[in-house]
Amino acid sequence: MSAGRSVVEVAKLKHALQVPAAATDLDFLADLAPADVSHLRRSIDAARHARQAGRFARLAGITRFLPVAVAAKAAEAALGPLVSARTASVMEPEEASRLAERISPEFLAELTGHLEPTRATAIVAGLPPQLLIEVGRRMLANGDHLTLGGFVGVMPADASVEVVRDASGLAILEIGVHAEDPAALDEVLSGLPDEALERVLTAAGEHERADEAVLLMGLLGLEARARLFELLPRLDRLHQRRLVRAVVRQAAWEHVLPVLSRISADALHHLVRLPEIADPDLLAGLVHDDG
Amino acid sequence: MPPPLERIADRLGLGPDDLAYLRRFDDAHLEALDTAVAMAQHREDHEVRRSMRDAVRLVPAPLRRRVAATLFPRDEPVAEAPRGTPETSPAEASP
Repeated sequence: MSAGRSVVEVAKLKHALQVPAAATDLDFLADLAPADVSHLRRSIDAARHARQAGRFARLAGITRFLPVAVAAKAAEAALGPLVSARTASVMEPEEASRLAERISPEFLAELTGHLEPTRATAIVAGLPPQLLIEVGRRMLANGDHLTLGGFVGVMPADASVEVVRDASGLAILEIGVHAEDPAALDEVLSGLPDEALERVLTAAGEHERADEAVLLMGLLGLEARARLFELLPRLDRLHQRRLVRAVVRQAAWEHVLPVLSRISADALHHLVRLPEIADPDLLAGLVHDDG
Repeated sequence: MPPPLERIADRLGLGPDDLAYLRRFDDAHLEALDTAVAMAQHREDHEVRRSMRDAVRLVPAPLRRRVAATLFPRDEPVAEAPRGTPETSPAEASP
C-alpha cells in the first residue's frame, strides 16, 4: 500500500515540476516513503514561491493602486496564469478574492493549476460557491485531475460534490487518489450518489486501474469503504474480480477486514463467493500473516 | 561543483540533512532530480520575466519606467540557467 502511495506522490511531484507523467527519470523516488516524497514536493513548491516572492509582492503592491476591473483585465490580458497565481498568493486574501470575482472562469481554471492549495485556502473561502463550481467544472473538462485533487478540502465539500457529480468514473478516481485531505474526500464521496461511485469502480475495472481504486479505498473512512463494497455486486463480474485481485495483490486487508462487519449479508455472501477470496491459499496466507 | 544532493538542497534553500532521505540514491539519480528542479525553476523564472515585461508594455508611458524599475530592480541577482538550457537573450532578460 505504501509503495502505491509513493507512486501517487511521485505523480504529484512530476506534475509540480511539469515533468510529463510518462517520463521515467524521477520514478526512482517511489522507493521513498510517501511522506518523504511529499516533503520533497512541498520543499520544491516553497522554494519556487520564495524565489521571486519580492517581485510578486511589488506587483501586488502596484495592483492595489488599480481599479479592480483594470487589474483583473491586466491579469488576464498580460500577466498570464502563472504570474497571476503567484501574485494572488502574496495578496491579502480579501483583495485576491475580489479580483478573482472579476476574472473569467476560463482564466481562473488555468490560474488554479499554478496555485499552491494551502496558500489559496483563504482566497477560496472568499469566493461564491457558484464561481468555484464553474471553475472546478472547467478544470474537470481540461482533465486537470491532479490539481482538483489538491483542492479537495480547500474547496467546500458541497461545491466539490457539484463539480464531480456527473464526472466520469476515471476522473473521480484520479481526483480521489490525488486528494490531499482524506477526511474531506470522505465528505465529498458521501455526498455523491451510488451511481457516481459505481462509475468509479467500473472505470477502475475497465481501465485496469484497480490498484488505484484500492489506494482510494485506503484513504476513506469505514462508512465510505463499506459503501464501495455494497456496490461491488452491481459491477460486471470481470470488474469485481479485478478489484478483488488488486486487494490481494496489495495485501490491503487492513482496509478490507474492518469493513466486513458493516456490509449487508447479501454483499458479504457475494464477496466471499468470488474465486479470489475463496482461494484456500489466500485464506491460509491470511491466517499465517496474522501469526 | 558540489555533489548533486548539496546542489538540490541549495536550490531549495535547505541543508543537505533536511533531505537525508535522498542519500540512499546514487549520483546519477540525484543528477536527474537536480536537473528537473533546475529546469522547473528556470522555466518559471523565464515565464515570470516574460509575463511581467509584457505587462509593463501595457502601462501608460508616463508611468512605465517607474513600474519597470519597481518590478525589475537593477541590483536584483540574475538566476543561473541550468546546464543544457538555451541562454536567455539580453532582450528577453530586461523589460
